[in-house]
Amino acid sequence: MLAGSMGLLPSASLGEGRRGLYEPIHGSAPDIAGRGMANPYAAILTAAMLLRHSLGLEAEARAVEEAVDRAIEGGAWTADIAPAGTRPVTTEEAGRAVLDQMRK
Amino acid sequence: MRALIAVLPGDGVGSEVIDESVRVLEEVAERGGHVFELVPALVGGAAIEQRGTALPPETLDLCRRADAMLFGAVGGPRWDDPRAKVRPEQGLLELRRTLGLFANIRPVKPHPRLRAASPLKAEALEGVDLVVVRELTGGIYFGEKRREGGAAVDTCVYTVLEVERIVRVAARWALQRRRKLTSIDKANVLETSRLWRETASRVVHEEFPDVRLEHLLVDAAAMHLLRRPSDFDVIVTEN
Repeated sequence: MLAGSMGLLPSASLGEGRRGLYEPIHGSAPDIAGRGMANPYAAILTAAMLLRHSLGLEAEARAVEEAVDRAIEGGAWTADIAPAGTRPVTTEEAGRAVLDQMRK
Repeated sequence: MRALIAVLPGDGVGSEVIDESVRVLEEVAERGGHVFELVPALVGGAAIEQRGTALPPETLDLCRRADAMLFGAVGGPRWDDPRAKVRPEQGLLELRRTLGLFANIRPVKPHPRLRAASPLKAEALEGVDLVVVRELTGGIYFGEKRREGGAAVDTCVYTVLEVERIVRVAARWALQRRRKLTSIDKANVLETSRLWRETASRVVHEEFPDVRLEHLLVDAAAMHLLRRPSDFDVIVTEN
């Protein structure tokens, strides 16, 4: 609720060691499945948590998080976060926007 | 570095969003000269369809060997019958339990550009940066469940050891951040909450003198989270 969409929130499940299970907090959303409109940012930020906590790759994790921030800043908004009157991007387009930012 | 990563897309949008995070991990590997072995496996409804169980042995075996697991989502209307013997969610609960993943970490930091997407007022979202640490392998999710005639029973159990270890995890997070820890319970009603509260107080007092601890009842916490979310740093709570 606070962040504006469940599609933005990652999570990590950790134990005593470094191994962890990383998942977006949103569920399987059967109502929109297969339509290419799901928000991939939570899943991508989940990968950043994986890099940081299980692999110890802090710089890489931060680079991914910053790329997501800039993709959002740049207006790559999926249907759940796009303001009325704008054309939402697809799941793949949002993913590509992050990769583009990482390559800059 | 080399790493073995189990990729468990699961059901529904799980595979769509995990495809994108896999692309990002591949990009990270290529740029940093890392070798990530990304091995897909079945879990949830997809596993029920193909293997008759939500967590096939080969998936569990892969996860035991892996450095990390990237998980999508499980569940869907096809497997929603509450009387069903096998349910997609069992895959996730079983993984958490078998691998001892007792601490669920959920960071929340709203993006400034997306304040309009939140139902809260934009000014209330200013400076919000919090982490929820949820105990994941105890409490009412894992206690004994049964039916007795016309009644149903769920059991909520917490041991001192379970509370101590999750409070330590949360306090360590707080030390890396603004050193404020909020423990949320229902100590006016629940005995497990009273144990939770006294254990949290002791652990923080004895082991983390630099962390400021406050206790909130869950009802009040829900209100404060909406009214003044930026006051929170690390939140620790039961399953």
